[in-house]
Amino acid sequence: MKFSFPLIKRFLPLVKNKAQIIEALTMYAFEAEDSIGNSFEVNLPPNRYADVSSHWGIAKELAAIFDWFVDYGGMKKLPVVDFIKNKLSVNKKKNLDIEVWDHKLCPRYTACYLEGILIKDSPKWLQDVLIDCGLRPINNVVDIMNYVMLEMGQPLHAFDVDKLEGGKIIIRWAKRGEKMITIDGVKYDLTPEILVIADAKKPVAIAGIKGGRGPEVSETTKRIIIEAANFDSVSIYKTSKILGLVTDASVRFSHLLSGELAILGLGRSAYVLKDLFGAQIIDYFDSRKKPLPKHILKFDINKFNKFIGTKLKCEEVGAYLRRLGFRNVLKDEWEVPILRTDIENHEDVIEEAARLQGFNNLKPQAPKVNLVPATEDDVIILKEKARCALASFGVDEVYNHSFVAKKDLNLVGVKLDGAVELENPISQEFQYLRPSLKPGLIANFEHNSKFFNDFKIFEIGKIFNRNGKRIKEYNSFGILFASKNKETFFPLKGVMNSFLKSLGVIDFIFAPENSSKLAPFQENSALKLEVDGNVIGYLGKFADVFKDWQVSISELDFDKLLESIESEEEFQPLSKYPAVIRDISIFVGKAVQIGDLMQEIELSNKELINDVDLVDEYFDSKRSNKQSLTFRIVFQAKNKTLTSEEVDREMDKIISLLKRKFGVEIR
Amino acid sequence: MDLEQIKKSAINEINNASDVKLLEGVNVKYLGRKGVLTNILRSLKDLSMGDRRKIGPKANILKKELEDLIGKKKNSFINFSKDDLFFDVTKPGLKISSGHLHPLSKIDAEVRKIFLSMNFSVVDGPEVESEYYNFDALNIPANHPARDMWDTFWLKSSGPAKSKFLLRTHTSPMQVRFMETHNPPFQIIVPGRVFRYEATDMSHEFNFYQIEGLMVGHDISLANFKFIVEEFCKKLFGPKIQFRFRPSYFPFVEPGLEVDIKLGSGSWLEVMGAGMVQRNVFDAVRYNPDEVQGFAFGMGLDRLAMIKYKIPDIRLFYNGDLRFVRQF
Repeated sequence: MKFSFPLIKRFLPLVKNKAQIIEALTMYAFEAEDSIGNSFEVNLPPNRYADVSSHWGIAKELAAIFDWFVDYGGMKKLPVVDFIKNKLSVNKKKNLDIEVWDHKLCPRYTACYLEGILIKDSPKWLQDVLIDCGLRPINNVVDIMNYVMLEMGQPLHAFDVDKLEGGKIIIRWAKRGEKMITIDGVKYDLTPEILVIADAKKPVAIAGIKGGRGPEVSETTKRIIIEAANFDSVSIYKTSKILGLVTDASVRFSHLLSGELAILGLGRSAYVLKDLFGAQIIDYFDSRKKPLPKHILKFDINKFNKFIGTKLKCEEVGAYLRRLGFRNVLKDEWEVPILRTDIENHEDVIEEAARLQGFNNLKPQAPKVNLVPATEDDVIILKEKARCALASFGVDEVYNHSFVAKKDLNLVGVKLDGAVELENPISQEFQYLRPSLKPGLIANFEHNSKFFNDFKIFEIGKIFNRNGKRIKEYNSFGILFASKNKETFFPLKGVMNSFLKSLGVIDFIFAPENSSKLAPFQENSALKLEVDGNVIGYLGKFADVFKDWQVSISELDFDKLLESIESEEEFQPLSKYPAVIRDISIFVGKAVQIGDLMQEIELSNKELINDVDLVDEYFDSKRSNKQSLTFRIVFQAKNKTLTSEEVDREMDKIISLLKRKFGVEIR
Repeated sequence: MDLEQIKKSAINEINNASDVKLLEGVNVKYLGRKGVLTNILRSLKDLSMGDRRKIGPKANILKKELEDLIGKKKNSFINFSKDDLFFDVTKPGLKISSGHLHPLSKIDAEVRKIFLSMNFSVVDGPEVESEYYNFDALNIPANHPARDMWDTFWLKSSGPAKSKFLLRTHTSPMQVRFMETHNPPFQIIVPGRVFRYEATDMSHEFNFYQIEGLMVGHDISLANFKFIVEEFCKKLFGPKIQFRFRPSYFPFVEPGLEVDIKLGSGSWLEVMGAGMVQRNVFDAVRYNPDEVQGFAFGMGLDRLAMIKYKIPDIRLFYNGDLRFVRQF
């Protein structure tokens, strides 16, 4: 909200410059910053509109901070017309015929009837204040409505009495089908939950938001009614949203103003009109017959000190409260300033005193706590472990947005009703919550392929899907290897092997998976990763859409991975006896899978066979239907040195097994 | 050529050999299969017994001598030889490719480590939230302008739904979720991704990371908050850091504060919103607000990383560019 420095200076002649104000407000009240010319900007918190969305309010706040008094031009307080003292009594039949139909949505409606209005320009100083605050001067009456709003915070509206049908004002709900054109010429369709100000026939203003065409003040206006009302904040907020109409008035009313501000604002606007332009105050109306109740709160200095962590005396804190306009009515009882609708409980009072003392001046204090071992959630520990393991394998980490486009759903084979759609996406590119990390990784691949020929990336993040009404989110792990011309599937498989082992996943197997139904993998080039019979993810070669590039990708359900972790590392006694290494070279049909051969060899004697490895592989053009493979088998016993004969026997066993089961030939 | 001549020229050539290649040439010339000395030794069998006895031992001694000299010279190449560049220690080391962690992962790890050292536990929470946890329970009622402080991504519901779902606009819902299932005293932090419906620019992203903090006990005060935050910032940014604590407003804390830091002669940088947990939040989790008190804070992890690593543009975190990631 914009403020005019010269107007503040009228209230606080001691104030030096804008910088002084900005610093004081920022450190003791709320954020403020410089603006062009004579104005400065205040970032008003929602709870302070009631008392400081005005120059008067800001001046009072600054006076409290500096421990000054506000200057009212020699008066004790801001000069207003005191209607009761002036014995102006309600005479509604004559001048003011006002009805309030809903006292909940309109807790207070006050109005003042003035005659002898002469429309002209307002004085320059007043116009300047409006301009400083971003408003446009129009004529003296409208300008004073705006000026008093800026000065005191109460939105006001002036009606030309002669243009009000039946001379009547009714605060009622709009009728179904009723329309209204606002003073700026925009037409609005009204609905019955919208509160309007109407004359005998039609709405003349959307209550608390904007005036309508018709009874607005014009060149010829002679007699006016000023409205200063108080409206239900929720109702104004909702109406403003429904109509898409935000005004100075609607913003203020949405923040719950005090009903007392209405009568003060009315009195002030009448005073200024009389003072500057000699308008005659004839009559007034107030829908509220009794004064607002006083708001008294108890203040407990011990609670204050315990809450803030200070050892202040009651008088010290009391002084801060007094500066803010609180009145000590009894020993520990304080009356809350009438405009402060935000002060409801003891903590509200504590906050006021504490900030005026200055949070910056508070001494830090180590908390006294019982030591309980601090822990981290398992998923956080595993994420960190996974990240470090992958970095050590040379894989770089990326972060992607949580949103994807419709085409990304197709890419990973997710149906529309299985995806979570945003009601208000930033754009079509970010319309759905990502159901997989793959689209992001593939986008990263495309981007980085412009700069690198060979790279490996991973991401750990949340993915989302929908099952009917239920929206589910999972932690996911995705990894992509890309290389220009070089094969990436087996490097990725190898890293995944080591990665899983390093996390403590023991019993996992990669099993071939029919990839035709598994987007976005190539035919016959996908594996599923199983732990204890549960599929926790897939690994595959990416469909060949990238020229020259070989791209392999894997995505695992990180939550399931977490459940699959079996144990911490455990020491295995080192064998005291030497290992014997034998190679076996074979020809075997192309259709035979290497994984099956290796498994067969391993299972032939689990006790003695320590490791099996594929060390050579080639295709002979002369034997086009065969593959030539060499396996290296490591034999080792825990309790003795294996003799050559014993190993020979094992080898014979393996050879006959392989011959029988797979029809291999020994090379 | 007699042996003396051979010896002289061989030694001369060995001394002059300036690298291993040349030395190997000398070796081949004299001691190789068709080398000068080898030929003499091989021709011994054709000589008379007398000549054989005269030349044989001498030739064998010379062979041994030359082998030793060549060996020594060879070693001198392998050991550090000043005027020989064969072993150039200034050549680059073998490139070992290691992966790079994302800067947000790095700063996240660092932040967690600091808080763990101050006895804070680390808790995880969901990114999809209900309106209740993200707003209502945090004293941000519907139809109140305070809610406009958070621009929210709403999720489409399939069919009529009782409550609406959204992407959490802050990590604060975890305050409520944690307190619903735990009793004070405790102190936790909650790192996580949050979302705001807003246009991206150098300092705004529609998804980013926050770290929430919550410490509740019977006498946890605002002065305690200052201590914890100052200790944390000093550990993260170094002891010379300056602080500024100023009033602010968040509906779920009271008093509400913001913390600015200043590094060196720079300007004030806003890093954290915080305050004492508001009574209505305690009410929502069925704590007795007259018996417990504590503080909560939230800071932008991206912002901390930008300050610490001097990263000018938040969008660099989310575009997956390895030229960026590999700097960390």
